[in-house]
Amino acid sequence: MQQLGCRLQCRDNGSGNLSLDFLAGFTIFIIAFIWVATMIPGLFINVNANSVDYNAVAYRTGVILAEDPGTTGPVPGFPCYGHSTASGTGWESLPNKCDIARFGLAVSKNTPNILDTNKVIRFFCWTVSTVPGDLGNFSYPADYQERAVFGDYPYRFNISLRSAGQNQVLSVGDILPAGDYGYIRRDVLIKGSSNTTIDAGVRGLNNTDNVTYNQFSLELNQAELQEGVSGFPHQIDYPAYQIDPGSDSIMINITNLTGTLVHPTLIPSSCNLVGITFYEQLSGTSYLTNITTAITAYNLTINDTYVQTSLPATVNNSVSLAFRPGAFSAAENLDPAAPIFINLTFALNPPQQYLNNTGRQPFDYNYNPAQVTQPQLQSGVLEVAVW
Amino acid sequence: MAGLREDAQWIVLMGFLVSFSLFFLATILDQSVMVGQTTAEAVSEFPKDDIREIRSAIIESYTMPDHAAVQNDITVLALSRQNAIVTFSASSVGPYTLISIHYNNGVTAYNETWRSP
Amino acid sequence: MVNTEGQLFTIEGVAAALIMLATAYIVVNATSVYTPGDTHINDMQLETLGCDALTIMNTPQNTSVQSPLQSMVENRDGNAFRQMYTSLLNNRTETGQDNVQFLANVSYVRSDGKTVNSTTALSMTRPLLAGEHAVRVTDLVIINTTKNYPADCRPATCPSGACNRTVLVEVYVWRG
Repeated sequence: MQQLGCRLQCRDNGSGNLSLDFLAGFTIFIIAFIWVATMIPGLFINVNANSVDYNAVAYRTGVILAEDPGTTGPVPGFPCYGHSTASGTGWESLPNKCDIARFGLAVSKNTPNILDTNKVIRFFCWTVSTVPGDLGNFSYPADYQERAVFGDYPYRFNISLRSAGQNQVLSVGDILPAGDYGYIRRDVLIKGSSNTTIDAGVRGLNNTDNVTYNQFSLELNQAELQEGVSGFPHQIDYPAYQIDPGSDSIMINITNLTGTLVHPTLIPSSCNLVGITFYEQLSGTSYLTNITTAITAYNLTINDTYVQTSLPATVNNSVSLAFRPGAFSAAENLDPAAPIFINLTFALNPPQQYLNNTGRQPFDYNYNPAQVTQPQLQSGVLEVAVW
Repeated sequence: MAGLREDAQWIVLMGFLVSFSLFFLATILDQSVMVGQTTAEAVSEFPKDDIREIRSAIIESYTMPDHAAVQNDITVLALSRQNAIVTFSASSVGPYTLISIHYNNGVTAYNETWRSP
Repeated sequence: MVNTEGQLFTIEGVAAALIMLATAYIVVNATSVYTPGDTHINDMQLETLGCDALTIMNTPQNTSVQSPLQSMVENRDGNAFRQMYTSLLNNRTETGQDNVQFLANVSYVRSDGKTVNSTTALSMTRPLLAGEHAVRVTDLVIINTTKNYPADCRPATCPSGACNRTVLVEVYVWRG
């Protein structure tokens, strides 16, 4: 009897014996537990907490880029020391990336899906630095993450833009992964720039006197370009069609200069472009203020050959001035509503008639499609992928 | 038959513990799927493009001389095809025209007073 | 000789194992696999694309001309609409086209000024088959004349139809 009772209680006496019953039960339990524990994590392999919102982040980035014009000012939490930005400046012209709070490619907040070319170039061509020390370069992914993608998780992304007129694809970011990624595609219009081609022979822009120096002047009337002029619609409502000398690129081509000679067979012994000067008629004044030293951001091409701006230069048939975006910003800052005049001075020997509108109206660079090729809206595709 | 022994209850309790934790994890997993879905639903539900179109159509209609039919069309089409009530009116203050626009589709209400530049 | 001694732990172990296995089975069967087609993300992407394409078509090149969509709707030019809309829907940044279909029609207000006729077809790539899931995008277009539309849309005040009217372009967009 004593031994029988011990069988039931012996295991509690610390002698180190385990009953078979306990081993069997515990073994069954442990085997089942191990099997479940190895099977359940397989459920979670495909679930990544951050992957459920890749599409949402891609959509948000698409909206920020396609529908928002961007914001200047320091990135919240990362103050910029030692410099400030002029209000109203587009972020694309700021040399220091510290002053850019948020990217945005739209022309303005009232023109969603219409992108500005200068912003596109600055956003995608991120190896172009405009100041020493690479303060203007954007680095992938940190700078784009802080200013376009946002979020605490370090998303990787690829943003691509293709314009219908070009084969080249502008792109920022990694190569698309083989697996799943969040994606959005936006159709956009990209606003081009305006230009004018003046056929010197056809237009009858000659003078009537035989003079040594012939001046041809063009006018950029800022007030008219902002508000429109009678005959051409009210432009201030339509930033998508506006010509803005302060921030757009402007191109002036003068061709067929030999056609402007009265005797086209009697070529003068020398015909030189001797000067390009800029003036602005400030409000309230009746004289022209010389602003030539303030405007330097242009490329001069003579006879289809690019020249450094070392004048005088011999002119045969064509002169082309390509003003880079922001070339006239100094004039805009001086007076945003004043007309700007561009004077080209030609010197001929012997003195004779040439391209000259002294004493007449300067050539008006405005919204008249017969005179100036207006900015075209070119369709394009913007794709954002986030993973 | 052995008397009721409670010494081995811990095995069953461990089994229950594992089961409950599995249920909890399954609930979290199920809820996580909804996160992505509700974000997309919120985007689709907000009538951003509807409001933009109606707004630009209204502003454009005031530049026309005969805008009564155009504006009636806007109101009727918005109500019948987009389930939205749209009311608007114009007034002049100095050289400017003020257009006040009201849009309501039952979920989203939008009010704006637009001033001509 | 056979008695119930020694079954205590075994029974408990078996019971616990069965509980865990049953729970695991229920959990595995209950949670659904996340497939993008089950959520509204595809709808959101298609709707954004469709709306963008209509917005682009409704933007004129300058302030003195009509937008492409206006002239297409005025003239009921289905071919031009299909060509432009298809390219806007399916162009990508890399080579290769997407496969998005559409079906467009025009709604206008009848001459009584209160009821709407929404059955006037404009253009389509192919009919919408049963079982296909489409999203609907719309755009309001102001046109200068309704002479290409049925007579029931001309009010008594303008029987020739040469008056400004607003119509709604509705497009169903789906993948496939």
